[in-house]
Amino acid sequence: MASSSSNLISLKTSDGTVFKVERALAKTMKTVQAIIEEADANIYMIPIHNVFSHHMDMIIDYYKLSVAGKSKEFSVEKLDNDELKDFLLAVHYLNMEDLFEVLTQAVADRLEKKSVGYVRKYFGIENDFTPEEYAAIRKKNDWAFKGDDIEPEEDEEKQEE
Amino acid sequence: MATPTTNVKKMKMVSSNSNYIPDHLSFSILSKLPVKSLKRFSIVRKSWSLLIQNPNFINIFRNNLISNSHPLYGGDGDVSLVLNQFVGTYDWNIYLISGKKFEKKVKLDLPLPFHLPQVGVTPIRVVDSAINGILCIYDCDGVHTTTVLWNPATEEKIVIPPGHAEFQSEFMTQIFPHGFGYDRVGDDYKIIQHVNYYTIDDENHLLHLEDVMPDPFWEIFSLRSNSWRKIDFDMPTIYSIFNSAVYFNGMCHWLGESDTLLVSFKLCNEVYFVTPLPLEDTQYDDDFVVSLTVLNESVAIITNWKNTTSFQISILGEFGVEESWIRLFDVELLSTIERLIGAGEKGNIFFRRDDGELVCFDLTTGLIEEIGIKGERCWCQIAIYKKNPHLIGDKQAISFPANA
Repeated sequence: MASSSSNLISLKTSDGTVFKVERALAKTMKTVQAIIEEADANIYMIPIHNVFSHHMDMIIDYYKLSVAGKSKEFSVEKLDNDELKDFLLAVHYLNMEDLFEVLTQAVADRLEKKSVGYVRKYFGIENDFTPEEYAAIRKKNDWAFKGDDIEPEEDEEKQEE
Repeated sequence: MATPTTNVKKMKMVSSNSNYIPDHLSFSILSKLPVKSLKRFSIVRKSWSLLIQNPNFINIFRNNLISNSHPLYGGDGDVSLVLNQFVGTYDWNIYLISGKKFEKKVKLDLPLPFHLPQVGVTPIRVVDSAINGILCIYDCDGVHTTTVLWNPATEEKIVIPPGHAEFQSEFMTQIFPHGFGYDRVGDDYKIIQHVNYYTIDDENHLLHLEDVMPDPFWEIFSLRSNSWRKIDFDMPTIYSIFNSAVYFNGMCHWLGESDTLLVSFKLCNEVYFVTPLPLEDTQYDDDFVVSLTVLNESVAIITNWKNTTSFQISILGEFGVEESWIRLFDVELLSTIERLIGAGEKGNIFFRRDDGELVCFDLTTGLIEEIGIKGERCWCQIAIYKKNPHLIGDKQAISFPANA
């Protein structure tokens, strides 16, 4: 449906839901803003790939809180680590500065005590050190692996007698 | 048009390329980690190991570090600074300073007995920092030490009873409070001090003679029990009087052994760590100044050669681990600084300039702001102060957040 009000922008998520959002909120999404500015005529509906309706729900929550000066109350506690990563990727795609900083800090907080093995899986990265290089750099930073609150490394657990 | 998925699966839905995170996104996450995690994850892959040494990355990392609000003082704007200004042997003042340009200055009336003229040279000293709006002030008249807990907002004053030190005419007694802090577990304010006995030889050296004098010892004061208890630890004692001791988050820290070691004492369980400082051979020199402070949540040392224009800042990644010091800043100023006198919020650090002016250097902007007060020598101290309208010892007086 064509939007007759110039104050609302229609965004269509990957799962087909249409959200009508205030222009001010759309402005915080640099990707969307660029699309609006490039369109010659009034654009009716902007598809936002990689963004699902549950992401938009949270984005709108954050926006409402920040407009009320309560952005510190925004919490992603209910998301597990993978859902948080997914949300971060969506916000990254939309190029939303403030929320991006909030979410990268949230991910950093989640990963703080994790093992190197976990981090590799989380980021989808392979270890590209040779065994010798790995042993050397591991030894050099040994202190960073110690501590009861740090998640132990899987491969090293197996080696312990 | 994509078909909507069922409600049940909604929250677990992830996009198809969910495993791939672009490099600059992962670097942004890395820049927000504490030092220990950052060092650990440097072995995830080669590019990450290189990244951590990249100056641009370090720049972002340290900006994040100093711009994150100090958890104990963030947010409600009721935060100011307390300045212990040393002007001359019998002339010192304590100010409360606030305002972005430090324009509001209030000189405090010190509680007795500090009004009395003092004989000794040791200036009145505020131990560490202001904990919860309470200052621990200590003064020595050459023979006796007076220690007082003082809340300037309520003018409540608690005189600390004497500890186990002995006084005899055959020797001199030196009592030195090393730390004042709050034990969250025991809900108690504590002071840790060292007692030493000595005599002065012909060359003005302090000598401790084992057969003639009692042994030196450490003792801890608990406000709850209003008493001192000796503890049998062999910790290095503080070397220089000022700006080598700081309290943060349940631990008292000080520099010992000629400013080459950091001692970190945990108040709740009396466990302590000794961490060697990251000094190069040439820096074991009297003209190389080391000051201890806390930059947001990390213990930090600020080093400089006397009467030069540059200083360096390193933060500690893990207590007891010399390799975990990370050099974060190398700053070049236009004016000569003498010595650090304390750290404020965010990236503010305070120095005494060579013309006597006390100045604030903002690590994020690189700008210098004069406080408008001069101080003598390096015996001035500045600390974050947050007004506390409650009585010392009142339950609601404790305003630390749950996870501090």
